[in-house]
Amino acid sequence: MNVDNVITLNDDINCLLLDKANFQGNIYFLAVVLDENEEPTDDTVVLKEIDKPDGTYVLKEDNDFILSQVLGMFTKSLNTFVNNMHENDI
Amino acid sequence: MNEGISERISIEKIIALLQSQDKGLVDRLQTACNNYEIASRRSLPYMNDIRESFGRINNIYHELGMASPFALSYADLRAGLDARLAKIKELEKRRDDAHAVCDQIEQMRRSDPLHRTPLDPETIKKDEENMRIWTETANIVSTSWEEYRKEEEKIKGINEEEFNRRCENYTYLRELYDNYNKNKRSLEEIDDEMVKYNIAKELSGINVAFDNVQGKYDVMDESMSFFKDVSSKLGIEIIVDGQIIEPGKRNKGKDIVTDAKEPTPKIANKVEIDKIDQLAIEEPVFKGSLGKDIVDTKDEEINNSFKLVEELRKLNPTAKISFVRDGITNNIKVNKPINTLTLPAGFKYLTNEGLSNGTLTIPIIEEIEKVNVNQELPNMDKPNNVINNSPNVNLASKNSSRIASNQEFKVSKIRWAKMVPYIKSVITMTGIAGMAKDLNTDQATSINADLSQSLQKTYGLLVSKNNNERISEIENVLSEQGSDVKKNNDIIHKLKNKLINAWKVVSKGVRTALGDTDKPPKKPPMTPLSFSLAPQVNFAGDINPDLLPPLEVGDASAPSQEQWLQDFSNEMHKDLGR
Repeated sequence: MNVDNVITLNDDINCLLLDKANFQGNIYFLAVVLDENEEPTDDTVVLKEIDKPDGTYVLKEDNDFILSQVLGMFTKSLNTFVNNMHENDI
Repeated sequence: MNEGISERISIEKIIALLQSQDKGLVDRLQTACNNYEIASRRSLPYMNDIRESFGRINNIYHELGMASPFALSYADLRAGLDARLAKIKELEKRRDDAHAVCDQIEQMRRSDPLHRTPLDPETIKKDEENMRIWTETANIVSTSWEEYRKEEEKIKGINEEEFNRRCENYTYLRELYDNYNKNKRSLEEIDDEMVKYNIAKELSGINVAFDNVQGKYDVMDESMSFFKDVSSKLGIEIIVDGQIIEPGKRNKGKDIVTDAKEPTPKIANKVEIDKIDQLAIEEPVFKGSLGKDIVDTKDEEINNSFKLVEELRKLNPTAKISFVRDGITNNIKVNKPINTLTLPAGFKYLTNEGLSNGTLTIPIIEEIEKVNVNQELPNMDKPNNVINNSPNVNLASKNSSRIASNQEFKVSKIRWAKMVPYIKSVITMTGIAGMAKDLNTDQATSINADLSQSLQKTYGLLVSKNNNERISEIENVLSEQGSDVKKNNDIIHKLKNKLINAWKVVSKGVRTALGDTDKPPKKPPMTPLSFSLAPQVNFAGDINPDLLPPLEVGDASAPSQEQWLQDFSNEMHKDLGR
């Protein structure tokens, strides 16, 4: 899985992966859930990637400490992204 | 071209040359040149960010008295060696001190061979302890000297100039990053969680920057492949950005080039495409506020993608025809098989090339059905799903997610999506703001304060003078389609609303942390404010200053934070009423 991927969970929910962070040896994604028209909703989650022999799984992260740490990383990454944005990108 | 003549021709000349033969090819060559130059230019800031982040991590290690993990120049290599030597000297001193203590106690033993005055338990313990230190450090010193000499030998064999050049290289920086991630021993030696967090933050930023650089390199590779095709087609050697592309080789992208500084065989026809910076031809397309690529047009004939799409729409009113930006190349997306569409006069469909009238050639993407959850996994190499966003104004909340907690979901499909950067930034920042508001920690305050910078920058870009001019250009282009203009403005207004909402949440989060949700903070911010559509503001107060971004020197007459928020909203609403 990578940033800018749309992943389908259990053949049902589509999520757009907005950003990725490594924390304590785990990979976390900032993801926004897409609606049936493939448009972003207000449902944003942090997903932890879990690799298993039968495929990749994700688990919604609820731990406040971890959330605060990875959200901090996502924010920094966003600042970099925005700072590199030019008027042509608008 | 004549056999036996070796010459270099400017890009202007080759374009003039090709114009007389194949205008479509010239257009694509110009686009490829533009793509290459833009991608090359845009990769540079990310490379700088990567080097700066590595430097900051090095500084953290340095401040902790540890060896810097990233050698970013030959001087760094030498400094690393010197640091290693200093460490060995320190260990040797420790070893010698322990040895001296053991010697001293041994002397005491020898002076009393009959043990008439036995050593007290404390001295015995001291003896044992120093004996252990002596043995251990002696071993470490021995190993360290061995490693030092190997490293010294290795550095002696490195050419300083070459190494410094290599340090600028993406592959080298990527190796540094990967090696560090493989061996996190030095990170584990750090006890301070905050320091670890700062390093992890830098690493995460580096990771993102690498992804971005890779994306730009992919575009450059794509252009190189096209140059290669042109080179093969015309049987000439092309020089692009100091690299020589030889005809006949089938390698892809960067692999096909050889170093221009190396002696090259004398060949009959050689065309130089140099001074790519000067080639920054006005981009033939620009991006509209909806993320669509809109082509500027002045002539009545179909001479650009926009006119072609308009014509296609007129001729095929039931088909859905739109622009798609693949990297920085334009494509036309259709929802019907191309052979069922009525094409404008003079246009025909060329396999592997797209729609062409000989002058203009635009690649076509057929997307017969809308992507839905039951659709097969599309080809990962050919991204074709564009997220078309009409953002809502509410922000996310932790408790209302469709994704249940404590339940593992299997990833059944993965597709690539493409988004315009500013839409992605808006979705990301509103998502983070929505999640951060559920956190009640200092960290959330820090997140909100950091987020405010992105919010302001994005809003500033969104309503910048340049962008307004662009909107006005779009309006001119779409003058015959009032509804589209309205739709444009609606989306822009929604985005602005979304930003205002995100701003309010972020601001409230910071104020909550300051212990005052309804009143202005007791200490007004000391930051000068200006409403040049990209206002700069930082917060000051009773929160941990280490968690906040650096404060700028302020103006005591600056308005309060609440006043600023009010003005900010007013400013936005003023724009909304534009």
